[in-house]
Amino acid sequence: MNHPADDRSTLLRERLDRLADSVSVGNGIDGAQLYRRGVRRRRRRVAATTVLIAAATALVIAGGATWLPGMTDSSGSRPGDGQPAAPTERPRPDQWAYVKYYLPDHPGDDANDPDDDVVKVTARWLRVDGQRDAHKIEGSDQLYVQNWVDDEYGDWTPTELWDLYESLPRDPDRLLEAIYTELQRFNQEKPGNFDLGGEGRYTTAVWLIGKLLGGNGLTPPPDLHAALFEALAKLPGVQVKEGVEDVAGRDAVFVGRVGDSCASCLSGMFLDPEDHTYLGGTENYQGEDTEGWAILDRGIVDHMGERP
Amino acid sequence: MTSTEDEVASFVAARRQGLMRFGFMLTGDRAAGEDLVQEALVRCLPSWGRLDPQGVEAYVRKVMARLAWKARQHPLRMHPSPGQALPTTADIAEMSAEKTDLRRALASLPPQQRVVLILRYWQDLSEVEIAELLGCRRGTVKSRASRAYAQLRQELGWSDDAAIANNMPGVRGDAR
Repeated sequence: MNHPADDRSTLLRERLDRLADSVSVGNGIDGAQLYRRGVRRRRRRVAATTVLIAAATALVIAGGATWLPGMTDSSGSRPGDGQPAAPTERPRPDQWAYVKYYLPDHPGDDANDPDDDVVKVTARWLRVDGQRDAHKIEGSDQLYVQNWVDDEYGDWTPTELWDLYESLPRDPDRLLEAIYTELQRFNQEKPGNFDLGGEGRYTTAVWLIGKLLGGNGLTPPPDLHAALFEALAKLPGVQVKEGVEDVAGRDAVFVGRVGDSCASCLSGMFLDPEDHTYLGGTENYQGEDTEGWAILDRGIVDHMGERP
Repeated sequence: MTSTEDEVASFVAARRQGLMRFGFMLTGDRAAGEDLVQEALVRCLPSWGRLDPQGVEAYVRKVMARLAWKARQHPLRMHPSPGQALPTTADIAEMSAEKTDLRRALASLPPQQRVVLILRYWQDLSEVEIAELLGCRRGTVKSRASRAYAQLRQELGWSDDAAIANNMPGVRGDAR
């Protein structure tokens, strides 16, 4: 007699089989065309000289504070002091957080266009109170509007994110503890979602810091912005690569850690080398072949479809 | 054509159907699944010549699973867009209500849950194999699979396992 769990698996597999078999498959993929597309993509990569600096030797001391390389200016001021225009006050609930993304490796736009991956720029408007979520692919007139779906941690509405900004400590040690507490709280709700054991907690913390720096059209208040970098510098195993380019070809500093999306993948964020604004991220830093995403513009606007 | 270009063209022609179905199951959407296949193939090209010819399909499928899994951290989640979320008229015509419901339920799962569910229950991989394939911990696989299955049951109104066996929607909640 089969175990009920075995029966359950078998029955579900049979239903999934039937569903898969019922999918009609067109001739939408041309292998030769794909090959040429791949060759073009590699040619577009701009070579960048990378410098790998172990975090243990990369930290510098400036004005009594510990920073990552390149994260102080000549006056030793904190990174948040000179950040570019960005909302530093709580936006109104009826406003919209606007973000313009460059997504060179984002599947899902136009399967029929072989050159579709050449430039993928997508604008997104998320209502501050989370009521609506809209996006538009650059060059298209179609605006996709949907209800906000919060199915993964880090999918904050701007209101939720601002609440989090206000609640987090500005002392880097206490900030790190608050970050771990926040992740553990979520793991209690959905066990196993984050790797918080051993070294995994450091990588997860890097990921969350990136989310806080780049989150949903907002920029952390200057004091938190600075504290996040101080916290980052305290995490063991963080790697910094200076003089690189982000996936959109802009000058950048890469900060990341091994072991999030895969055991050997170096995931992390690209920062503006001057003011340390979050530029984007990747789940697998590969030098000139890095793929990921970039934020080209962001801000708070009053209406969906409006740009700052 | 170069020889690699020929090889890729032949491979795609021979394996298109299986890969497209795998892409559909991983994404819950036909168009997104096709994009996933294309993206995975493009990413495999640099190492194409070094791959064991017998293992090319397995490698492409591995890349597909990882791409679908990594959608979590992407700033735009790989949800089907509103225009893609609903089955087309042709889809509906060719599918029974059972399959349409299952398709909707599958599409509604968070991307990582869907990936694990497909690998676990459809591809029949073990939790350890899935963890190795996706580069995550076994506990993560276990919890995602469990949550995915629970949500699927809820979405489809399966009150007990017999409902699956009979292909009949069960009774929701505690009603008997």
